[in-house]
Amino acid sequence: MQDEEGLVRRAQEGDREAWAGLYEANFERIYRFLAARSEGRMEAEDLTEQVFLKAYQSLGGFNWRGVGFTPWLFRIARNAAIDAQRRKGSEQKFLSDPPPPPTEKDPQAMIEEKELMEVVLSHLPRLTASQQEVIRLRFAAELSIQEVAQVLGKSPGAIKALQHAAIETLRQRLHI
Amino acid sequence: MNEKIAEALNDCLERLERGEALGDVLARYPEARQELEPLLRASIVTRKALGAVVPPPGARARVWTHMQPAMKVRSRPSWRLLWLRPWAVAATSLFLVFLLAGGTVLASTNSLPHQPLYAVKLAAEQARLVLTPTEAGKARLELALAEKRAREMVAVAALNRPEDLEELANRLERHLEKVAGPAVAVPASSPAGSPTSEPLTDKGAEGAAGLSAAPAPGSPTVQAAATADVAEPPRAALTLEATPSPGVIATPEAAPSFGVTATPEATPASAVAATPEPVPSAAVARTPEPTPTPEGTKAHPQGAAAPEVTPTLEATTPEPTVAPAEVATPEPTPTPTATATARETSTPEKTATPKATSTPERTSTPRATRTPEKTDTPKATPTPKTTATPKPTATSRAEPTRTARTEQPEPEKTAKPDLEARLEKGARLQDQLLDEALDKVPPESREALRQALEKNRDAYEKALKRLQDKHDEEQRSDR
Repeated sequence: MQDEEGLVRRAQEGDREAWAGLYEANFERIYRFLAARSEGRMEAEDLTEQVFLKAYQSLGGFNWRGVGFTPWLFRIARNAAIDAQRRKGSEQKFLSDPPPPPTEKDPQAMIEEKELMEVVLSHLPRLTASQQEVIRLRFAAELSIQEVAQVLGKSPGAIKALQHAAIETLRQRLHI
Repeated sequence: MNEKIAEALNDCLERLERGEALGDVLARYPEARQELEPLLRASIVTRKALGAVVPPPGARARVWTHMQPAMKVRSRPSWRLLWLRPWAVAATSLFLVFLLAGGTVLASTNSLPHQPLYAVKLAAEQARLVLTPTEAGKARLELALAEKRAREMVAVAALNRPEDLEELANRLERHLEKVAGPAVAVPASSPAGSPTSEPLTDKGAEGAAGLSAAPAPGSPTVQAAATADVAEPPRAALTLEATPSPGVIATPEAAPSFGVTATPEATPASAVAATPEPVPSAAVARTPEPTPTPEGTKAHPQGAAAPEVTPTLEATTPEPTVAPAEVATPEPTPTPTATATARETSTPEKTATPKATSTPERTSTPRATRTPEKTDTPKATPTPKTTATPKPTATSRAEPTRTARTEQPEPEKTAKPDLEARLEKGARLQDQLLDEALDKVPPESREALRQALEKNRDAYEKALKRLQDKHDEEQRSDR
């Protein structure tokens, strides 16, 4: 965290390397979070670029009071995704062109993973919007309860309750 | 109950994220195990499914490259961000402190002694003095502050607070002391050879250059002229006399003050006898003292000096009865003994100086003296008399001599040191202030103000005298 704070300060002072470090640390999580709610791989990539660009341009206005850098970045990502959905005018269901599973794996395992991914993603829309956000942020973006609470502007207790309800719904859908 | 399960579920998920085994995690919640286990399995599946979403190869570099052109535009750090930086906080605090202090100082600008902000005003003045690097700058500032005090005196008098006048007058005097050094008590009659007189003689010897020129006319120069007369034609003498006169013109007011305050006695008989005519004229014009001088002039006017003097006397002091007498006498050139004058030079000069300082005559003389032609034709000097006309205006006022000073031209100011010119101006200012204040000040405070301003003027004149003495000493030591 201290490293992240140092990188952010340096990036705010115009240090491009520091900004590159922040990009490296967050790119995959942001992409995953956006891919979990966008309709295609290219769209997720475009949105990721928009998110980092917006973050870079707004970095001067960022401060450490209230919200950490990661939640701040995911707020931007979430807003970008919501805007993209509004522009399209349709509620996204799940990835029509899901990102490829990790390579260099057993083909059978890859198929199983892809199937599992599709199944899970197909059940996500059954959740409430808040539950979906909590699941994406907790399991795709791998944020902590505290960070999710900061992104969504809710209390940690509320996030835990949403998480519980979302997982219970998914459990029922997945017949576990 | 749900809250407890939600809490336990999250704790188990975090432990799993840290790499703990599912069995170990469930073992922590044996009572909720049955409820937690399916939830944790569903969570693991969901995490695995969503975690399997991986950016395509090259996406990271592609996105970075696409961003570069747009990354040239960047917002500046907001004030909120700046506020977090310690130096920004310190700078802002300092700025606020200065702003507040500056505002208070500004508000105190027009305060008067009885007002609370007056102390701030004085403190700010002290700060300015401390921050002024050069001695000359400090002296100029002290003079400006003295002027301020004088104006404050008018203001407090206008508010009918005569009790503040004394304090202000004392402050003014202290300012002037810092310009010219502390006031030294001068005995009522200083001996001819006293230090005050010496510098004057020296000045005279030097000639018209500098302030010293002013006192000179009476003393050394004149004496020299006297001696010269014997050997040479009046021309030389006239030129010599001329030299002093310019000085007089330049510092008309200052010069008189010397005569009056410092060495009133300068006119000792011997001196008078020795020194020629200029003495009388000056003395007459300025102050009552002149009476002795006329006698001197009568006794032995020098041909050279006399002509010049006469005109001035007539011109400047038409009213003073004394003057005419002098006028008559000067022309009789016969000087007792050139040698005598030479010897006495030191003493007589003194007498001469004060008188010379007297405004009216000098103004007139200078012109005559400047042009050598005049020396040839002493009668021409009368023309200067017209210049002397200021006197009449002076007479209109309560104190003719003073007013005359103010009105006299100051063509040679540049030749004088700046401080002396300013002191002269300051002395004049006191009269101006009195004039200006007459309508504003309630009658009961008027007299007190008048006295206070007169005291100021004396302080200015003394300061000028001290300053000139100081200069003389410096010059002597240089020599």
